[in-house]
Amino acid sequence: MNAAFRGLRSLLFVVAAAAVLASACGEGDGSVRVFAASSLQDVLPKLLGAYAETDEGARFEVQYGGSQSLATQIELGADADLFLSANAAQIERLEVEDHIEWQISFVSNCLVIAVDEDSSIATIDGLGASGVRIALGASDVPVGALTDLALAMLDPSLAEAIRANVVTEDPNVRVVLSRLELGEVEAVFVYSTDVAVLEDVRAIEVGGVEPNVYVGGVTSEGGDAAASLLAFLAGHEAVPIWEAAGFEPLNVAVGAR
Amino acid sequence: MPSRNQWWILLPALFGVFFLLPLLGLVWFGLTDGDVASELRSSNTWDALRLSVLTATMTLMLAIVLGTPLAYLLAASEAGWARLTATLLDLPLVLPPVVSGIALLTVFGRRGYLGDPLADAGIGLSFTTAAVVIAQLFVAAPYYVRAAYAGFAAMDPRFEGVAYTLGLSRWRTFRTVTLPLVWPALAGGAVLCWARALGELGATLLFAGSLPGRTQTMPLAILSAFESSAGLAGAVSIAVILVAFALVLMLLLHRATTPSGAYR
Repeated sequence: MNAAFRGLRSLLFVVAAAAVLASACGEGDGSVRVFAASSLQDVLPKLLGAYAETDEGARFEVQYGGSQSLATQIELGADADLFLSANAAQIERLEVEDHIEWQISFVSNCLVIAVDEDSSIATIDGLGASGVRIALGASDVPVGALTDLALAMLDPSLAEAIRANVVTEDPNVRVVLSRLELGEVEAVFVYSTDVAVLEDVRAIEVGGVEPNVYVGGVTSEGGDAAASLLAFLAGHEAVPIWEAAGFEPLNVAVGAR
Repeated sequence: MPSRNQWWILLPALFGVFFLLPLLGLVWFGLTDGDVASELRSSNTWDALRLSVLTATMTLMLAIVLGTPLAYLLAASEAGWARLTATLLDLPLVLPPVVSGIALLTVFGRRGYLGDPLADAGIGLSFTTAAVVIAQLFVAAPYYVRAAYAGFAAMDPRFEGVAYTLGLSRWRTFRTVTLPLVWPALAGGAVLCWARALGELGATLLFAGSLPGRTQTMPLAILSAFESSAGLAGAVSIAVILVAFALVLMLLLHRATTPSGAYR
């Protein structure tokens, strides 16, 4: 059974690698091959569009996926010039094996409380009131684990009052968000970037937890074109586009050209 | 070697293998890669199992109490509305369960059409154990009603007619004449309904939420484990427990609902 699973996985990888290789051979025109975390899927096309305006010859091929599986593909030899990871761990893992030439943290997102725009809840203290219904992620999924950390930072009596108001612990962040959209709860714990794309929803900051930092790495294959694109993504011109999508730009001074 | 005219036996044999192999694969995968023992020690798993059995059984009881008269009425009536109702009852079988959950929310949710009147009456359904039962009832009861309807429709009405002419009351006729005749159909429908309720996931997640001890049934616990860092192995470990438990209960149910000799 196990061997069969592993066999299937390596077969899938060979197929994926062959596809990447074939597309790379087909496009020998110097386009930048970008591997990007799935959570960038909405915002990255806008950023690439803006970059293309400053550099008319720029061409891109973008492949989205989970950061961990993208890192595994690069490790196993897939051709990528630029890797945009949703966390530092995957870049560090590749750096150890000399797959990454240089890297920079460019944006972050964070845990927020989302409420209806006309909600009377203004701060996290409001979540402890009786009659407030709250949805959050289950402790064993990433958004729920982060929520647990945030609640642990609070005054114990407030945390207890908030816990008492929780009506559901959902299996992923998308389901958590739907509770608010359907009007079944007053408040949900989700990522800032989930809220940014919704109308009629307001985000309330949650203190005390580390943000998720997105890190970009130019691979040993990537040349000046990839470095120039990463500098753009981390630079001043990209800031409004990142912010509109709910991301917090970092290191802007370093990335400025 | 089977004789020349018995080769057709291969077809049911292959079909049996088709169902058996994935189940064996799941159990084997759970026992080798998963950690069934640690899931068996987890109070979360037991809470989910207890809740699953409780809600599926309540669903079945409601389906029998409410569904049997409905199926009887529909089968006895020749009118167009009866046919239409019977067809409408099949619709939840076609709907993806997540859609059934949304459908329930549009009526019984806080912003649903009955949300305000229910709130005024002090009734809040969503995220309660009652909501789990309602979601299961919507999705699973049609299996029972459908089977019961087919059973009543196939019965020769002259048996009841004779009983009435002999002076038996309506209830006594139903109990001593009708019920024994349709028993196999009702029992088969009841097993299907209970099993479907036990496996219900989508409508429950949407309408009732997922809170351990209150609304998190076994399928929801499995989904939650699947999305966690324990991932596949954790989900399959809980699934093995559900499969083992369901197997034992189904065997008992089959024995209890099949009168000896009924099918021979």
